[in-house]
Amino acid sequence: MKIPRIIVHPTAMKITTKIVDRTTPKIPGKIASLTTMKITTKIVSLTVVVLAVMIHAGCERVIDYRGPETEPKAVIYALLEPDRLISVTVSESHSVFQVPWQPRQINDATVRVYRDGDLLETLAYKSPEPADENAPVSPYSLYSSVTNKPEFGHTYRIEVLIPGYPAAYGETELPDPVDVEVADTSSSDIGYGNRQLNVKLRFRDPADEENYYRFTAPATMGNYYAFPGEPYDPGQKVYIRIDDLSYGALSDPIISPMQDDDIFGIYPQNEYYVFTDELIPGKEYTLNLKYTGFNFNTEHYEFLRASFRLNSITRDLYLYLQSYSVYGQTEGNPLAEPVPVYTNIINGLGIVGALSFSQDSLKIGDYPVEGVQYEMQPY
Amino acid sequence: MRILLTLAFTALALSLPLEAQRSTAGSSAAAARVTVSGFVTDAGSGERMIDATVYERASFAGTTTNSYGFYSLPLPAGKAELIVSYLGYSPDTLVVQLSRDTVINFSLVMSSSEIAAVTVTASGRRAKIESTQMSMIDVPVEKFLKLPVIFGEADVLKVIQLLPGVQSGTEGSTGIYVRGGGPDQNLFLLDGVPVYNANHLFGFMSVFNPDAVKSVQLYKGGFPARFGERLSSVIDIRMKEGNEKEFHGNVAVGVISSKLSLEGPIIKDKTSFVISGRRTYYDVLAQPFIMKFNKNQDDKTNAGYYFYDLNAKINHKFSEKNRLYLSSYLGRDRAYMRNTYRPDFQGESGERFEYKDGFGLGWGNFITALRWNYLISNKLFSNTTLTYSKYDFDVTIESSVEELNSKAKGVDYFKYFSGIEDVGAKIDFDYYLSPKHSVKFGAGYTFHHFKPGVTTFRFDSGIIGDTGLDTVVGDMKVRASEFIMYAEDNIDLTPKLKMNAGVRLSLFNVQDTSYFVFQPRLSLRYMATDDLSFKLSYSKMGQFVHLLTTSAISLPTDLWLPVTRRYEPPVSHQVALGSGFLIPGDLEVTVEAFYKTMDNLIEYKEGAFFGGTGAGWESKVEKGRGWAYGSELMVEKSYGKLTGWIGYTLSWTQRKFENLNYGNTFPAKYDRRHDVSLALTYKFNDRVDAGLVWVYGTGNAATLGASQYPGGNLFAYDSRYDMITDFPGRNNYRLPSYHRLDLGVNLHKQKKHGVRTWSFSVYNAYNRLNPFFVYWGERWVEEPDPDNPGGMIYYSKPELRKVTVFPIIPSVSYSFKF
Repeated sequence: MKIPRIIVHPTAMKITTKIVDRTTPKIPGKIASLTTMKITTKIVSLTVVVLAVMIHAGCERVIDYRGPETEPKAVIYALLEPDRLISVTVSESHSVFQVPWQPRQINDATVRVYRDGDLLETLAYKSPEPADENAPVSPYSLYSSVTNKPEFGHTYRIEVLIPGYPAAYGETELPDPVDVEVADTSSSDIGYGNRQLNVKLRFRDPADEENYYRFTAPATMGNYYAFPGEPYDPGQKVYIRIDDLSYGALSDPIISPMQDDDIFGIYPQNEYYVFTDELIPGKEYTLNLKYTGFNFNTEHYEFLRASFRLNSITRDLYLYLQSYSVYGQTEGNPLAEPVPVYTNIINGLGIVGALSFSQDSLKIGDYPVEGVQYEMQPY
Repeated sequence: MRILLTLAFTALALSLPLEAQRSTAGSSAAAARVTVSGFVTDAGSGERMIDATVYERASFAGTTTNSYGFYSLPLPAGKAELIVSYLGYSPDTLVVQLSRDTVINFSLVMSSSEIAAVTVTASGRRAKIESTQMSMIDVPVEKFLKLPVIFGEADVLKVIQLLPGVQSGTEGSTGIYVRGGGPDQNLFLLDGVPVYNANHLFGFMSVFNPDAVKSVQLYKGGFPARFGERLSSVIDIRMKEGNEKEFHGNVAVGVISSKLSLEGPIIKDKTSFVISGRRTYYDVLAQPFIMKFNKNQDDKTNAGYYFYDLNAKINHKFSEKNRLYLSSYLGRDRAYMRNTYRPDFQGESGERFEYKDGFGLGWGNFITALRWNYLISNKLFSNTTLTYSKYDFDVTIESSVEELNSKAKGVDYFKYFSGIEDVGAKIDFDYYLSPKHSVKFGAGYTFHHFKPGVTTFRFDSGIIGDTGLDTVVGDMKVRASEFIMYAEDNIDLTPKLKMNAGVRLSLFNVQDTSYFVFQPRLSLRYMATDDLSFKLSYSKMGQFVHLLTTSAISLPTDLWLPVTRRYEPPVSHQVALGSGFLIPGDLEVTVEAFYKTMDNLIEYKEGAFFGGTGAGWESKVEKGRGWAYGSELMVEKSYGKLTGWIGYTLSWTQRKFENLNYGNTFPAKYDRRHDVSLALTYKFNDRVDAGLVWVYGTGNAATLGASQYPGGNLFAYDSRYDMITDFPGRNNYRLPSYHRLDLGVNLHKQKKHGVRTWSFSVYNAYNRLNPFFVYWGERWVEEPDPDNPGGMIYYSKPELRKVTVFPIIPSVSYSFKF
């Protein structure tokens, strides 16, 4: 068992801290082994128990669905980025009563890209890579351009026509990137032998416009596994891992505005790390990123290469990511109001969005170093 | 709307000259006018009677007693025949020669003959029709105690759910939704003090103990100016005062709780008290089962739930003009779980350890009111009240390990606390200018203390050298001041047209921001015939608190929060048009139509599913508006062996939020097209009476999708995918209709020291499986593969499943009244 720890984040909320008056004799050499009890679990458990008892006392019956018939629609996913060829995945919706439903590759759709109202290109269907014959068929049919990359200052319309379905389309344009820089990094002791890497990422929100952002942080890191105080052994390997360090932003109030308040863990986590400039309109802001346990021993050739990206995203993409994230986290919860996933597709479903980003990098340690053995870890 | 406002103030302005003209025209007569005033009380208990009718036969002048049983009736000097009546009591008639202002107190005797009461109290029955007040229902307490109820527990709010214009929430719960309003738009007043959380047992019982309740009035519209601070309803509940004459009591044992009530004089005819308490006992009854469960376990667990509440009131009559009341309510719910583990192993030095985990969840109200009734003159009645109301909710978690030899102990402690606390003072005046003109006015101040969420952490690891931690987070106390003033003028403009016009001024100050809400009110009544009236009302209401609550279920975590700069005071406008008339068979019929708009409403953002915790709540909610309209019919029979009512509501309730449902209008969760209720009691004789309730309602709205599509491959293109359900719109689907029949019978028997009553009831007598909620489930299907003879295919087939929580539920309870 481990000691329960609830980390208190400094925020605008008033925090008063004092040292415990030691009136109780201590247990020499022993760490108190206490059971962690999560409040969320307890309250939800209690509610579920109450409901379960009630439901158990009652009963469950299958009833007829008396809603309107649902017609299948085209589903479009397109994310436009600078310097990337335009690609679109196409799929379709189906009635829940259409069983057994089998996904299919839609290779006969017509997918057109318009730029500022003019036809730019009709995308070509791209067959999926040959897979094991027992592998499930992907429901996503890929259509991609061989020449066109989106450019700033233009409106792009993606139009999909699947035979038998009404033509569906969505529009977007590339948002301008917002410069970002690593303003400061530090490492701090957070107790019990743990260290924390703190990164401050600074940017200025453009004034007089609504802006939507997403934070991402692709990273590569190398770790050498050794006991404390053990010297470097050239015969041991440094293990390389590719990771996404976006989660470090969850300690920032603009990414998780209710982090201190949300002690019950009641509100869906911001799993796509999206935010708006509603609280920082036209102002400079510094994102505080925290990475508990990050302590790279450069004498052991441990290293970190991280790119901290501030993605400017379209409003539609923001709404889609936010609603899709919340949808996934509340699906099946009878206490939650169901969440419709946002779509900007006319006559269809899905999303046509765009992003652009600027980034700053952080490097700790040298990599690669001659004579050091490296091995890539699968995760 | 502007026309109505203009009308209201024109009428108000006209009323004063009218009154002046009357005084001038009848100046000679005025000199010969006298005022009869006094109190109407129950002869058996000395309790003052609210809304008793006082009528003078020759002059056709009449009035009703106020909330403290006081009446004042200016009359011409000379011979007068006064008739005083009240539902269920034998009327009292007194012929007097009036030569000067006179105080006459009446004591009414409870009628032993229902027929006699019917014959003589026609004027009493007309009082409701003649009143300017519309959209108000006086819930007959004595009657609702005879109605069948779930688990045998009579509940004020569950009876209110049976009234037209009121939608119930989740089945079995005490949630009420009045004319399209939300659960936070109802003002529960217990002896004039707001009750913030009216729920016990996770919302399945209300905090109002029927044994302590004297009267219940529900206002759905046409709000008099003396009421405010909520958009949709006022539930004005008055506690009993205590028998001034002799001691009485009541003991009741039910399926869920047991109750004890005592009342009696401390000084006969001067000071009396009433005290009433109840407690559940599942936690006690469960102990043998828990002990059995623990018998062969390494760790011992104890868990339980209980609630208790206590109502107490004492009043003292200093003189006929001075009376003091002190009333209090204390109630608390608590759920808990404790676990103790003492392992067999010992440490290297013989240490032995004991581990303890504990979890507690509690909530409760404490309210108290000190009230002073003072009769300034026989025309001017005053009531001064000091109030205190507190609601709090807490979660406590504690884990500890103790070394049993040295008694050294490490403790981790967590406590979350939130609440609201009000301290207030108000003064109200009733001024009776003439039988045709009376005025109410008053002012008040309330100091609100919101504690949206305070968290305490305390860690003491028990390790030498470890400093531990004792921290308080989120100590975001918010203080707010609220001032109100009101005046309402009740006047007969013509012999047929009567008006109650008023205005309420509210000023709310919070965090250096002030909000002023001007709330005009107007009610007009036109008597077409002696037994038929038409009524029209307009009310603007404002409120300064929000309730953060889920739409699915009422939980103690629901938070009361003040308005802010971002979320301004919700405001409603309501217009109602109605008619009341008597028809043969002693039936009173009320028909009303209403239209209501509500602005600055808040709701949780999509995806939130549990209560909030305070600071930062603004980022969790959306602001929008709503509107509701419909019509209501109520046919009521208040006299005779058979009493009760039939109610019908036809209504629409809509919401529109910019960031919910793509900004499109959607029906509110409890938008129901039709609601029908039938509530009847029949008294066979003094030993047997029976009750019947039948309700029907259009199914609640629910959000349900019937198509799916692959989602979530924007950042990864592979063959993995999740399916998204496409919801056509919020609350787009109608659940199956709701209906049920409840039956009950009460068997009374006179014993040596009192009356014992066995109550038997059946909830949902024909076992209608009403939906609590619906969801998509799956059924695994194995069937021959049509494309592969001899082969089988396997797949899951979706099924829409309805979950029913309350099937047929019989119950029994026992009570003894002495």
